[in-house]
Amino acid sequence: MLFLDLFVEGLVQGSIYALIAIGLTLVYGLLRILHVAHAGMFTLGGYLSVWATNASGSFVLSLLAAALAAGVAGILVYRLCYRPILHRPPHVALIASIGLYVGMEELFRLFFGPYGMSHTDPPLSETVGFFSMRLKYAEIAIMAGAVALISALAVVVNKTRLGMAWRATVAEPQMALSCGINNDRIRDLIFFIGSALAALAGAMVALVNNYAEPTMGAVPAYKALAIIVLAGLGDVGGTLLAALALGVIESFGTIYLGKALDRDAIAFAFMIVVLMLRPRGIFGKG
Amino acid sequence: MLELDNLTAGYGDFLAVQNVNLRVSAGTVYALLGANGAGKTSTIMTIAGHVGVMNGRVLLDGRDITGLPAHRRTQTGMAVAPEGRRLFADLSVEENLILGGYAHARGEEPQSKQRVYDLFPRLQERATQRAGTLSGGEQQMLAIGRALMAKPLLLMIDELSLGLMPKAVDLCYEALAALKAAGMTILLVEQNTTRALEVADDVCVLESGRIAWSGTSAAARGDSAVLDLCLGMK
Ligand SMILES: Nc1ncnc2c1ncn2[C@@H]1O[C@H](COP(=O)(O)OP(=O)(O)OP(=O)(O)O)[C@@H](O)[C@H]1O
Ligand SMILES: [Mg+2]
Repeated sequence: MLFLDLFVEGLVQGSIYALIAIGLTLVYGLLRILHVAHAGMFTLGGYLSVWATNASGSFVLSLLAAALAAGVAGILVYRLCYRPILHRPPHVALIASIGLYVGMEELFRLFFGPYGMSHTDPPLSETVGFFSMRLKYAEIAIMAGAVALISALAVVVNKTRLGMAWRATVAEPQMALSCGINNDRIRDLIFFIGSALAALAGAMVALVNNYAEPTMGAVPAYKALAIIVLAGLGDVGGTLLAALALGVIESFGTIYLGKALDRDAIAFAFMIVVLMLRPRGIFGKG
Repeated sequence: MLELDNLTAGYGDFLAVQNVNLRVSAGTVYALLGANGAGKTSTIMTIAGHVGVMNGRVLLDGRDITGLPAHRRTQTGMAVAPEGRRLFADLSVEENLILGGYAHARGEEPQSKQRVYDLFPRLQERATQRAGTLSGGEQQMLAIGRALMAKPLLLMIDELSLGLMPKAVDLCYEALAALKAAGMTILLVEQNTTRALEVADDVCVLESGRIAWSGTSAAARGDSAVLDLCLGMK
């Protein structure tokens, strides 16, 4: 059952892309900033979870620590890096963001050393039979975790007053203020949630590869950019679908296109084709 | 209730409001008139905290709120139904109302909502519809309803009748009369001078950001200069 294998592997990969890309698209929707340094949160999550698992012996605890720390780091990035330059044209924030990402990579090197870090005793590495396949518990945890996190986010966004306030701030920031909504708190919250999700994705990648290293964010970063462009910038539902689609396409592509096209190039081929056909993204209007 | 004390405000170097003095007494309707570009919207948005103040003060109930951030002004008892309505278009009618009352405890929501629905039964029928798909009249009702959810003492309405069918205009003015009867203070911007003068107690006419005329609406009705100013012909 090669087909099923590839499909499941694609979904696992797609779940990871989705967790990264959601934060990116949330930030773009709110501030119109392409938050390149978001990938740094992914790497941070990878490192922190490996480090905390090794230190505490508890993988669950390490996930909490990684999400929380990256969330707080996200708020700091917003307040210290983006907020002071919000009134400037968008390329200023983009340059700042790229600079910040490069700086973060170097910081990881300084703190954790250049060679990366592995679990001394990799958690969830046992496998389990599923139809004709063998899946690692880690892979199952990734899919279940991604579904749970994204569903929780959907409930918050669609059903709570806080979610309404967020959507109002995206749609009409001035009127949201006049309703008594503090836009700045909403932005803090979006950076917290987005960064925490990216960190969890980083933790999951570090788990399946049993490896965290300073540049692990680079490839997911540009793929997440491709995904949110494909989905139509700022569209959360579309981002989710595009992420899963890319995961699956890559997974099949490595087998059927592997000779012609590197796995990481598939995302770009996919993006170029889609944008030629639909310049505003797959789900974009008009 | 509301006092603008020698207020000057604008965008960058451009002064859209210059040395404006006005005083709105509690429980009255004050009409802010003037030709296109006279600075009416800028005045209202300055009071709401969205336009930079260069000089002067905004006082609400004697309290100086000139430097208060926009998101904290709703707690001082003001709310705005802005020009162009500016609803949260992708959100439902009900969600727009809930957000209007965001600064208040959640427990007050059902009661506030019911008050708005009593005033505009139409909105209740449309509660789950997306605000962006409402008709012009319904959108104006929702903009006013959203503002009322904040339980304001001062309600500011910018261009109440602009672009509405006569029947919708009548509905909005009936609501305005009901609100006034209930003791609400209202600052009204209106293109339709005749209509505004019928409902207002006091009036001022802006011209290029300055007050060109002010007085009671009775005096305004008798003064042809007011109409000329509003049409932009001197
Ligand atoms: N955001 C802005 N940035 C710069 N200038 C602005 C801005 N908004 C308004 N202005 C300028 O301020 C002046 C007053 O505009 P304002 O919208 O307050 O007038 P108004 O009396 O409400 O006009 P109208 O009847 O057309 O609504 C105009 O010259 C306008 O071009
Ligand atoms: Mg105006």
